[in-house]
Amino acid sequence: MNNKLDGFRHFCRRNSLFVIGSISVILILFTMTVGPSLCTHDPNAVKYSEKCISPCAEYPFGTDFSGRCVLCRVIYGAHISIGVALVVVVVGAFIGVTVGIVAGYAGGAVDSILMRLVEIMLSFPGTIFALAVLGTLGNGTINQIIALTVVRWAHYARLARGETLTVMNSDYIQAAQAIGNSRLRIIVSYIFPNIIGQIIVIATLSIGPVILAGAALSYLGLGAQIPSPEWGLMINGGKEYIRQAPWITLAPGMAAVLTVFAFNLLGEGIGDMIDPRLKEKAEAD
Amino acid sequence: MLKFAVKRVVACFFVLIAVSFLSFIVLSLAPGDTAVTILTHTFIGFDDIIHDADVQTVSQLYNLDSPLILQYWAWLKGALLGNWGTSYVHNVPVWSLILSKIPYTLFLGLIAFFAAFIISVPMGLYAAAHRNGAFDHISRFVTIFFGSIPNFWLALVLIIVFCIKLNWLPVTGIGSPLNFILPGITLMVGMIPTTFRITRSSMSEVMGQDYIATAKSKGLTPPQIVSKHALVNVAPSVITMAGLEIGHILGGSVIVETIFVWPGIGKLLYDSIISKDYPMMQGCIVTISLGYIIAMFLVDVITASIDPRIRLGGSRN
Amino acid sequence: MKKAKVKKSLSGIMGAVLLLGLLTACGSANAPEVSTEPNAQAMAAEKVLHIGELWAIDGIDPVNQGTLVKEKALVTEVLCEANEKFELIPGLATEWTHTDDNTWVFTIRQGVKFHDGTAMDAEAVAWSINNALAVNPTLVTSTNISSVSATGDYEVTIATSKPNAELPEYMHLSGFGIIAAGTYDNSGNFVLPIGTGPYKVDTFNNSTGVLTVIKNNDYYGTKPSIDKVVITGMTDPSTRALALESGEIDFTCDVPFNETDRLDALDKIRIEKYVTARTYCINLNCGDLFSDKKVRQAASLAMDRETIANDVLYGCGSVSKSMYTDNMAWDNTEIDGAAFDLEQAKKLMAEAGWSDSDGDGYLDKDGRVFEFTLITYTQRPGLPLIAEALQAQLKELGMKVNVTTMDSSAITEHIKSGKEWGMYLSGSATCMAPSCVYFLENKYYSSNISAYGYSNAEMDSMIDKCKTEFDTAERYEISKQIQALAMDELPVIYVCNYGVAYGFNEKVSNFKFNPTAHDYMWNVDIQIN
Repeated sequence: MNNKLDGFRHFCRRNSLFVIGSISVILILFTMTVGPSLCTHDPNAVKYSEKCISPCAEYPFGTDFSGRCVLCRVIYGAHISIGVALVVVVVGAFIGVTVGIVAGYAGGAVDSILMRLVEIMLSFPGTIFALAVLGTLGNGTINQIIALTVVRWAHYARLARGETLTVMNSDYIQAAQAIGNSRLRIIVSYIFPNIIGQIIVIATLSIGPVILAGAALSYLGLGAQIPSPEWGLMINGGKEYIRQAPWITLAPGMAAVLTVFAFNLLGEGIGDMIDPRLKEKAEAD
Repeated sequence: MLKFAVKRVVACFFVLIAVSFLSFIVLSLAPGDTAVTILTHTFIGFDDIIHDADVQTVSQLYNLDSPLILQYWAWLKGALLGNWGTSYVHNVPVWSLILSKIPYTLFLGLIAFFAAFIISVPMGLYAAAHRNGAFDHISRFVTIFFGSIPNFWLALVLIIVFCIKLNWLPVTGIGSPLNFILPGITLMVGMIPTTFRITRSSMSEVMGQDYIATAKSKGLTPPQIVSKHALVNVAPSVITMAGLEIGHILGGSVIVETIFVWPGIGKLLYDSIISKDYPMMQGCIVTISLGYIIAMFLVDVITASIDPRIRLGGSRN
Repeated sequence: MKKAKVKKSLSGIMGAVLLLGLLTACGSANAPEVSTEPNAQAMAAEKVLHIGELWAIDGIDPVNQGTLVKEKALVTEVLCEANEKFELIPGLATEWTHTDDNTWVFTIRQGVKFHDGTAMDAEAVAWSINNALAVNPTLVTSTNISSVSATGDYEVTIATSKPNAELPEYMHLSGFGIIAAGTYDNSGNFVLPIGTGPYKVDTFNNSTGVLTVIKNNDYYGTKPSIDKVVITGMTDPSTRALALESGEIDFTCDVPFNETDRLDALDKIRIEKYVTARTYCINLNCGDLFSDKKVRQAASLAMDRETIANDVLYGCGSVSKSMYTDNMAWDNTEIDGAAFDLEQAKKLMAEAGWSDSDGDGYLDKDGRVFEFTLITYTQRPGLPLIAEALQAQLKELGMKVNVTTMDSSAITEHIKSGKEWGMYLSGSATCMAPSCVYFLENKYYSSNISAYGYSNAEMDSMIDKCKTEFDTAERYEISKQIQALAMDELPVIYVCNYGVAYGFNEKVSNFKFNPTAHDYMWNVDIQIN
């Protein structure tokens, strides 16, 4: 028993980022799920008689310029901000990994063409390209997801290709090829399982930045639309009220900071645990 | 070395052409009649009344009816000769306006970058040399936290504290050194996490190498190990990281420049997106990518001159 | 071996850093002067007014940026000015008359000199108007001018291709500000605007968007009281408020609406609110959900304009009874389209066949829910807020409103391409020129893009008649009839008159509001202590 407890303590000490990160992420996801049913106010109900009330028992985070409960809006906004980020990361990773494995496995001309494309995508700064894509597609949450995905996939593709090349050189892939496995089978059964760990680390690490990028686009007025309680949009709407009602800006900002912090800690934590090179070193210390 | 450099220059050139083509296509697909855009921004108020006759006049005036690929060809021919077109909104050559904005962005970005560099590289080195120590944990938490703050929100919070509550600093303007502080801090906070993380992880990698172990066994003190063996081997990754960050300076400050009304290329790009000034958007995007590509090129050349294996391998990837 | 390499690489880095440094240095050297602050001595002697302009100053072309050059910088002047009732008064032309339906003759003021010392005569005026028509082809479309010529030393004759009874009114457009040929260099490139106004351009910094004008000592009219005016583009309202508070600027237009009371309470700041010739209005999609007049009337009745003016706009704007405001000479004051009566609105919707049959809170008819998209744009900060308020108010009536914001050119295409929309909320200028029919033609004439599909033959013929009626009183009378018909038909609903909040530093006094200005126009005898 004591041994187990010691082991747990040791684990926590070694992986403090992972432990704190995963607890915070679970707490945030829990609030997100349970929160809406506890909200007594409609996040979009306009009531001018109760505008800009400072935080009190009725409205813990105060009300905004249209008399809406800021706490409720922050909780509902989490669904949009976190939801958008998860969709972007999953879809982007799927596209990127597919492209990366194909490029790495096929090699030759296919590899060159795909990787030139990736290189071109990466030489656009992310925000700029997302802005350009949104300028083209027009505003809205769906378009925001598309824009962010278009920007993200290349990152995963480059990583997946690199990892595929590493795995390809290993003996067991050569053995699998020698006994006549089909290409698809080699990709699905041998390559994919060997690179998924790295992909998960990068994917988890990119959730936070994607939340930030999404909020930034909405802040600039190019993502979610009014009256959506998306965090970036709330911050933008509240900035004119920064003097008389700073809570309209501070609450969604704090929510974004904490959420992104939690996901970033989790990502770094998983990274520490999974990265074999670092792990070996950690053990060698 | 020269052959390697020439090869990279040619490759960069083609990437740049591809970037310009891609962005041209993306921008051309945008909804909204370009003629109406030009009309409302150049000739009448943006929410004024539009006449069909005027839309046709503008279409002819700006050659908007020709096929896309011909429009791109015309742009590319002009661009190669140094004519990047004329802004719809400002009615001046795109290139001249971009050129006048670059110094503002570069100056602010470099100041922020050097501040971030000076703070985070020593931190990263120290944290990696004392892995899993208290400093390592604390500095990781702090930098991860920095990386979690939306820069537009940080800018607003800084404005609340330093401009409104304390009234120490001006919000906008570019005349005095004081004007650099808030946008500089906002940019710097965004740069610290990456610079710290890359320094720390490459230093960690180096510290795990055999020659460090050998040096330890030879009885060298930790400061000696770091200064004699580790730093030299960390340098290439730190240079690459610095190059990447500097390459991103031109495009990395759109939001900060917009909030602090900084007359740089980021604000120019944002304004041109809002007003659908396509030649200007195209020019800004190509310039920003050019900056990134030049930085990458310099990084390649510098790292190749340190490590001949890269030269022989031919490519970074 | 290793050391040598490091040295080499270090020198490479140094080289790169040096190169970057050089680039920056060159760039900075090329960039125009940043600071325009005069030295302390000069400041004591000089009276300087700092203005925070609400748009980015992209350029100072006197034709395409005419509003800035004429109204905000007072550099150019036009042939016909307007008084506070929007009636024409002499400007650079002392009188004008039409000799036949297609010919107007303007008599030019004598003894006026341009800023470069050249005389303003008929030749110069004719050149200037022709230049404006060439630079901005939309001016030809709106005026129907076919030729402009000097027919005497101080007489300019303008011929039109179609009768235009309001040509003098259009001469009030700031794009027609009279400039000297020296505005352009020998090869035809624009240099700086050279006008006749009380102020002349001193410097303009293209990259920072700062325009400085200094007083024209040879001005023929009231002598300017301020020596120098510095106009800085500050597009963010909060930034303008902060700059006003910190004393960086002495005057600005449109601080955040919600900040006006707080700012006004400060010792050194004064806020003045006015209503301008612009209206928050809604085009309805008469081809779809709003094809029934009763539905259009119901939507208008469900709007609580009082709440919007007070709680959303914080008094920067007023309830609008029609498209025009009382002070305009041609306003039909008998119209009151501002009634708020939710019960009556519900009754009208029921009469039109809409009811909430499934109890979800939204009206429906033949299986279709009353749901539509309200389109607006964000450049005018009041619009998204009004959209939010209308969304809530129309929900009370049982209409489901989805708000979306787009760029204005995308809006035109969205509507033209036949995509779903119900309302288009905009802040439209009612008097770009002091014309009693310009706005009516644009919003209601069937072939116009801005009429968004509304078509009424009676309306079209009345507008045609009004445009060719040369007798001013009679023209105003026809305009009043058109206004009455338009408000009865209601293809466009008027929500509020567009208000502006001007912020002054206390040291600025004697400001006189000019209702014909588009954002603001300060007066030559404004004082600063």
